[in-house]
Amino acid sequence: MKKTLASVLAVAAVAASLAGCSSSTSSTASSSTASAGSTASSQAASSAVSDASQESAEPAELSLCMSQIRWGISVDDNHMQQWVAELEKATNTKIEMIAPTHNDYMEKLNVLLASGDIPDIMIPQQAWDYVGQFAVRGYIQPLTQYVENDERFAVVKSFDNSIYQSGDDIYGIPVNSGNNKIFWFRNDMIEKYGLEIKETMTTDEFITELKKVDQSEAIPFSFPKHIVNFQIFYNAFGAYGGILPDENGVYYDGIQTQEMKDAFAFIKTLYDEGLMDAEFITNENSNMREKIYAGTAVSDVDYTSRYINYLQSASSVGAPTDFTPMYSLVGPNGDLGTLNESGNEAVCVSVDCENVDAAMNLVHYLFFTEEGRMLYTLGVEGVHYDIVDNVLTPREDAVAAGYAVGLSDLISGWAAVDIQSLGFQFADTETAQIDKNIEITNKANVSYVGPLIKIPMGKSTLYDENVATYNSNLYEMATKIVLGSQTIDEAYADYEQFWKSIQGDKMLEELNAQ
Amino acid sequence: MQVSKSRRVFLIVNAIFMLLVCLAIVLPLWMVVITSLSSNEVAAAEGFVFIPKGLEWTSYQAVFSSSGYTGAFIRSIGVTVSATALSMALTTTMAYALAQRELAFRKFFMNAVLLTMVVDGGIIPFYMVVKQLGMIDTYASLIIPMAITTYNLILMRNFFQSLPESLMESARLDGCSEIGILCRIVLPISVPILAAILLFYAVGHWNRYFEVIMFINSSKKYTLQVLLRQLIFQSEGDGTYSVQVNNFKMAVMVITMLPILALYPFIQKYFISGLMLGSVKG
Amino acid sequence: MPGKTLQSLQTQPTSKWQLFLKRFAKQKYIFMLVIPGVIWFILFKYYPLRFIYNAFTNYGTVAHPRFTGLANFQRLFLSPNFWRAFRNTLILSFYNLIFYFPIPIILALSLNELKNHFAKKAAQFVIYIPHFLSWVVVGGLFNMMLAPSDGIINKVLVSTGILSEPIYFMASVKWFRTVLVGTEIWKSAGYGAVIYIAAISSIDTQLYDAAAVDGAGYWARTWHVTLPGIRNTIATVLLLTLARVMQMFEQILVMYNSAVMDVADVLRTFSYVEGLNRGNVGYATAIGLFTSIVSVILILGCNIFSKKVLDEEIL
Repeated sequence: MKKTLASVLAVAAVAASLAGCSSSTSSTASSSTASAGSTASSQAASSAVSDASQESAEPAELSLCMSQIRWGISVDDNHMQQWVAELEKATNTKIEMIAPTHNDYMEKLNVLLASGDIPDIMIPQQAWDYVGQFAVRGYIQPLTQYVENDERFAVVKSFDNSIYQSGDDIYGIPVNSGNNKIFWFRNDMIEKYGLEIKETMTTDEFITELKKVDQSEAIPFSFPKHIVNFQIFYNAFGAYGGILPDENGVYYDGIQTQEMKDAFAFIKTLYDEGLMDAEFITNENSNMREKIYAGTAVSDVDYTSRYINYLQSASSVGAPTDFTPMYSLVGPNGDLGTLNESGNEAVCVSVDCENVDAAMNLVHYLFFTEEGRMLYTLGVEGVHYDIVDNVLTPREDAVAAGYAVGLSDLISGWAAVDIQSLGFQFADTETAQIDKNIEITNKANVSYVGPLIKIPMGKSTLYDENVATYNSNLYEMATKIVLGSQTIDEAYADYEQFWKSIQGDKMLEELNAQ
Repeated sequence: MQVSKSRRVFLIVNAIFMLLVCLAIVLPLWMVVITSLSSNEVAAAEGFVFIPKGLEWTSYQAVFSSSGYTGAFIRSIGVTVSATALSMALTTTMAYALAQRELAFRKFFMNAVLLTMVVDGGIIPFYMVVKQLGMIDTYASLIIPMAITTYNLILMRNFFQSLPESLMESARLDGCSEIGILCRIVLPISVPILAAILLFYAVGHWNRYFEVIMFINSSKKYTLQVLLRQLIFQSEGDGTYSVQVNNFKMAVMVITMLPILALYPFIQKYFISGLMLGSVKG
Repeated sequence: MPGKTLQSLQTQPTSKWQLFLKRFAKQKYIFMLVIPGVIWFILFKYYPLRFIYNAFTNYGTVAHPRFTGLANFQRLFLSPNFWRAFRNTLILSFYNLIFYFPIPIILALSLNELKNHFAKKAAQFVIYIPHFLSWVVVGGLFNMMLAPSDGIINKVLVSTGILSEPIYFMASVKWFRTVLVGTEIWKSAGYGAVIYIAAISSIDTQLYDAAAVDGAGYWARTWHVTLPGIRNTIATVLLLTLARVMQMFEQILVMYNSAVMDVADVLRTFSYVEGLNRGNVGYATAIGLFTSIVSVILILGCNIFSKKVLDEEIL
């Protein structure tokens, strides 16, 4: 038996190595043609940036890989087809839509990329990590000239595009203009417990106010399982969960600082005092939201743009109330900041894309024009919604398939949609509420933006290889400290071992070499 | 046959044990069903509902008012039926052949088959094969590449192997072809195992999700499982979505489960004792 | 495609080759039955294995992948997370074998002894339902039932005095593996029993009658008729479980969180995160290759054990 198994293995190994050799040669061949293609197309692009006369041309064929949840929102395929048809009509394109579900988007995209089926346009999530990676891996092409020279994308200059940079080029265009998470409080609870919620609160005030909540009645402060959100606390202590440059540009490890230890201690206090949701580590975002909608939680951390959604959801589950934003905690040294998730999603264009101009036209239409943004967030009139008596009313079958009016995406987009002059109103939403939401979003974007630090790919091999492990280790470490399975000192002793195992000091040396 | 006292005690203990097992399974399922029948308010406040507080059909009505589900439902059934048929055809023939002791290189084949259970290239090379065969974004990609499950193949082959050799020998002497033996002698006496394997395949194909996401690009070809996942995760994103409280998710869940559950009673009737062998062994 | 089989056949000495032809002529119909399956296996199981070559390249991380020798493995063996995943895989596999594997057999035997026909059918139906809930839903369900604040399991345990205070099972390093094995049993044991139920159904009833004539009691009949009757099935399922046990994946991916990574991260989740989330395809392939090798060793080891101790090969 062993003999036959051995022979099977041998045959398999020989076949694998033979095929492996041939596939490796073919893959280098294809990648070299791909790079040749990309230079050609980027030249073509540079010569034709300002040439927008697409009217009479044949529709350009483009493949567009966009998470199913991000457009039209309804999961009914009829609705999706009509949405795509609308986009094709507006941009004179023929679109092959690749629509994986929201939660599997990155997995699907990674399979497509690794197997050479690169979609012409893609919108990676956590783009601050992936755009640089994709660039280094040769999947996407530089869009620098569009960002810098094309008037249509001029608004993007206000954005810190360095997070999408690799080498000297910029490879991504952000989908939203700004995206921050802040603290939200239920007004009925504020009244009930007599909380004093201000625009910013010191860490001590935060604890004092939360303590007023009767813990047998409601969770004072709910939180999602995503530990990356702890950064909202780190901000108050001037700490950063990652490797970052100091004022002289010298990189250091943000975890190995007193500030970080203080931040951990603060979160641990919140948890130990029963102020923070005892079950946060198993809270999906949706669990956390359900808790605050239904009033089982008093406060949570969420996007600024969700204000209207909060209002509507709270009334739909029978616990209507208004919500009060609290923008930032203020630490002992006066540090503050929201949780900065700007640039979470960015548009990238494949190196194999044959018609970059058409692709960028589409990007411009969908994310930078009022009409496109409305298509993206509201869907198609007569398919997703009707305008009845000047009120935008979602259609019943669309609602059953998951459709909702994407107001928060509408107000956080680049295209300045003037909601007052749309000529219609939104069902169950007062214009004043929309104005308030815009005001909250802008305030967070302008006055309280937290740090978002991105080290470009290719600076240090060790960093590129280990950054993901470094992050997941930080999340585990923070969890252990907060849940109390390790003291801060124990956790830091373990961390020293970890730092050695990823050759941390050498990594810093590499980063500081230039 | 006399029933002794200890025997009676055993039977009672056994019945109680089974009852407890069933309770442990039914209680959580009860919560799924009750939650799906609860109102938004109750479901949002409790997550999963244990004690019903006013039942209503609104979640189910909401699901059925969208044409998207009907389409996905039909596609799921089509894919499951055709994939199960192909699976059964390929598995039965191969298992039968591998069970024949005189088959040349039988051991080699068996080990080669076994090896595939542990050695796996991962999804990316699998995707590339499907792509090279031109199956990406076709229903064929949901039927052919997943046709054989090694686990089921080996189960069936081992069962065939346990059948008495004399049966086949005498049929061969009577001049029966191999296909004839398989269809007229082996399959009829293997009904229970065939029923079990059919069930395994049908359930596997019905529940398939990951491969659908990987191999299918256009939303109009998505199956029910994809819609289910889509709805379950819809409120995870950062945009504005409709409130999908647990009641709605669980309703979709129940609707997704029912058709394949309904298959079971039909299969179950083939698990009858003494269907085989007794008559032929003598 | 069947070229590979032919190729390997041609390497045999001529006499054997002729012998084979002779046998082939005699059994060409059996061969015709095996061919479609063989083609399928070569196409969908063996052809993709050529990709394993990438375990020795930096595929996925650069624009032009090249041969990097054992660099991926070196990185792997230096990574503490890898050793943790390896250890967890072995421990969880072991737990599953010890605690999960016998349960479907017990359920099938117990079901077989239910004398009320209706109760038997109903119980069979009920225990098999949970298999149809996806792990996402089962994860959510147990997450809720095991919650320390208002979860029903904690409530029952505390009110009956078994626990003095609620336990956060889903975030407890001590309990999480129990949760994994327990939910696996809850979800799959009834379904796993189906195959034994089918096997018991096909035991010759005359054997029972004969045993009854000999005056055998229940245990004697179970021991001498039922168990030997399904022994073949048990051995097969054991082998198949062994082969699959290293592959456990979806359950963990859905249920684990950063509090329990130390006890729950396994090789498959580790490689999934590296390959499909981070796109380090070469590295992930190396992890996959390592997992496969360990599985093969595990199976061969069990086979040797079974041959020595039970005097029977399970392969």
